Amino acid sequence: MAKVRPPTLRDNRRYVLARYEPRYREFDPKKMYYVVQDAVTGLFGDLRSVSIGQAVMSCEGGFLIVRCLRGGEDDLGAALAAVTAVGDESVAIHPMKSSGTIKTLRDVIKNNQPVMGPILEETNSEGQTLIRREGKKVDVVRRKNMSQNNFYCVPEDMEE
Amino acid sequence: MGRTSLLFDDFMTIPAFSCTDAHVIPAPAGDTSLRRFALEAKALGFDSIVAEYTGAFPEDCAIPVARITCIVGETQQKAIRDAGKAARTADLVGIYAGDAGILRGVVQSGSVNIIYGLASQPTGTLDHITARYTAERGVAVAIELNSLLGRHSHRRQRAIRAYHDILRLHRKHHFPLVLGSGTNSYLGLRSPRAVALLCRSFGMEDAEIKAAFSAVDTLLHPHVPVEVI
Repeated sequence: MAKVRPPTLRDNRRYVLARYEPRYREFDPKKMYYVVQDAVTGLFGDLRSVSIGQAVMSCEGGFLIVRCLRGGEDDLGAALAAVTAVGDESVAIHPMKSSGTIKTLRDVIKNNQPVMGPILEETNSEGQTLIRREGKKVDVVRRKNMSQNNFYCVPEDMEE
Repeated sequence: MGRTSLLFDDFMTIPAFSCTDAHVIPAPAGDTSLRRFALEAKALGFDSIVAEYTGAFPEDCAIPVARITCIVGETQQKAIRDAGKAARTADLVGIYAGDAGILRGVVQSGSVNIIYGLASQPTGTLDHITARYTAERGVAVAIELNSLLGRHSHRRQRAIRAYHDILRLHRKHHFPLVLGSGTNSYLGLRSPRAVALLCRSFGMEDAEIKAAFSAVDTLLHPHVPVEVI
């Protein structure tokens, strides 16, 4: 078992909670780790990346917890905001809160759970259409052959 | 060190039309409807958006939406004519920066409210003379984050260099700055907090960021001197 370092030698860590959209997408935490690392390095370079010390702790349910060293929260938040895609899938990451413990962030996650509606699935001659609802948000995903078209709207737009 | 973390600052204490995303492009030009853009922007913390949208405006958007019509400066006369036509139907008129001479002429005529797309143009499109006219006419220059987010390596560096030039001219001539996402998808929106963090990373001051969030209100309701009849 690794020896616990004395307080003087311990790194001072902070944990940044971020929300990602679309919330229903599942991302591999390892992939997300490399994406965040590339974002930090791309924006601030290798030297600053070492002093930020980012590491993705968890990535599920629409929330991301990223560890960093104290003093690097703002730059990490900027780098998270600069992420636009994980692999081929578009994503938006919104930094929410920073804390010294993961427990506080897990409490915030518990209080901000989305209410997802049922997924409606239709298949017709135009291909497969998936309609996902979260409250007033409607995501229409149309798949035809190998291509995919997304349309993000609200129920009033569907009626029109 | 010595600056408080923006993650702890509360940008949401600011009052109405003073936290605006200055450029979104809803469907049909994008994949997100105008209502959805308004809903997402409200959820992120904006209190208004400026939408480049030609259709009928829905009345039930979650937050106030200002309509902007953007023109492209092919020739100076055409651009000024198009701006005049656009001003009759839209709340604001924008121009995508192109040729430096045409931009200067259009800005000098006072026909536009916001200049977009400077990060994609060669250095010198916004020069010190155009900057002076911009300040005199109260034309705002947009800093659009899609130039920063969607790019990497030398293209992103070019965009950041353009932002530095804009900031330098802004600090000398004091024309308004506005912040916009420049996106046609709700996935391109970023919260005011995230926008502030990104802007701070390339050198904007906190006071400049706050002023830029609320500059659209000044464009919509310009201060006019009191006239004694």
